Amino acid sequence: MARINVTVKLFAYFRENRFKISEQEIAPGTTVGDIVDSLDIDREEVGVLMINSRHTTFETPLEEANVLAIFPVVGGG
Amino acid sequence: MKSNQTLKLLNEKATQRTRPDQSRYTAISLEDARHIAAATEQSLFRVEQIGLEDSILPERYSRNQKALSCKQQLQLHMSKIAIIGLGGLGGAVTEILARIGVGNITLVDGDCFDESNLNRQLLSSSEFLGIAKAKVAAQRVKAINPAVRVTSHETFFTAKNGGELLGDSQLAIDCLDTIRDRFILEECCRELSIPMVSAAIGGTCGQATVVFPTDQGLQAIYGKKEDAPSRGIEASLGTLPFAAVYMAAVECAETVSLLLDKKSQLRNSLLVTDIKDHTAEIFHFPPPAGSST
Repeated sequence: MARINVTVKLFAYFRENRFKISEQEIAPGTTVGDIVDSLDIDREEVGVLMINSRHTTFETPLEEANVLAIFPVVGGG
Repeated sequence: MKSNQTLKLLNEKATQRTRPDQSRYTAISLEDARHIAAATEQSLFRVEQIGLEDSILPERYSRNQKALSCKQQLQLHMSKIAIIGLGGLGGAVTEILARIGVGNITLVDGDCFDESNLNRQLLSSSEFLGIAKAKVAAQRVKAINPAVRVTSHETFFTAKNGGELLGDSQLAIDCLDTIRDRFILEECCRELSIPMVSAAIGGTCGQATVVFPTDQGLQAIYGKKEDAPSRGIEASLGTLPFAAVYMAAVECAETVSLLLDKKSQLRNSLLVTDIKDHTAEIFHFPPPAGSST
């Protein structure tokens, strides 16, 4: 099957030694969790996951042209 | 009529002053306003209200103008808000909103100042260690702006006492420090049909949003309340003072917009910032699936 293109955006300290934004070519069926794991980000540290500005989950498969944003959990005051 | 007498005294004592751009305004000094309050046996809040209704500006607000008009200053003066949590965010929010002239402020926090607060909590100081945050915050408000009517509660915000603590506040400002408590405050605000201005910080990062009673709110950010983590990166990275003050300022800007009936910039949106590299981005949430709005 043809591979699909997605954009991955990282926020806050997830960017350190990684990137701010990256265009990725992935296999169909690749999930949000697969991307997080491939970036060596601890799932426990992930707070907000969004595809096209909408809350999503680790289990969601990505689709062509999706923009995935990954934020750390921020809860302090 | 007391208010007629007050207005007469205000007009006698008011002076014409000049802004740096040479434009003119009518001002009353704090000292004169205090004398009038004593002479007419009214609160300073009431005296300044009567003045603002007649475009007599308390001098402390002179540098709010002309970004804010006299009418808007009066609107802030008559506003009622609740600040929930008086730590890094809440302390700075208290300081800013007292200075800009929000007239009725309710302060809620059951905690006392601890040495570990000193890096970022503007209301903490070595002399106040062990003292209730709500008490110190109330004193600070009165010291900055004695016209403000301040109510303080030395208690933690809970689902049980929330409705009572929020009282007749027009909006609540979420300065809490756990995600679970933020959901509790959001629920109380929904029940009272008031908006919530919310921010969270950790390390050098911050986020902020505004939730109206009919909005998806925090669920759009964290997912379902039951699945949301209770703490974030602040548990390991701490919180730096400039992140706290930055996001407190964002909350205040949104609060003032709402109190002045202007459009919120962060409703159904999430501002994400990292002051380390000065990045800020706003995510706009699409309406939930199946929604007609």
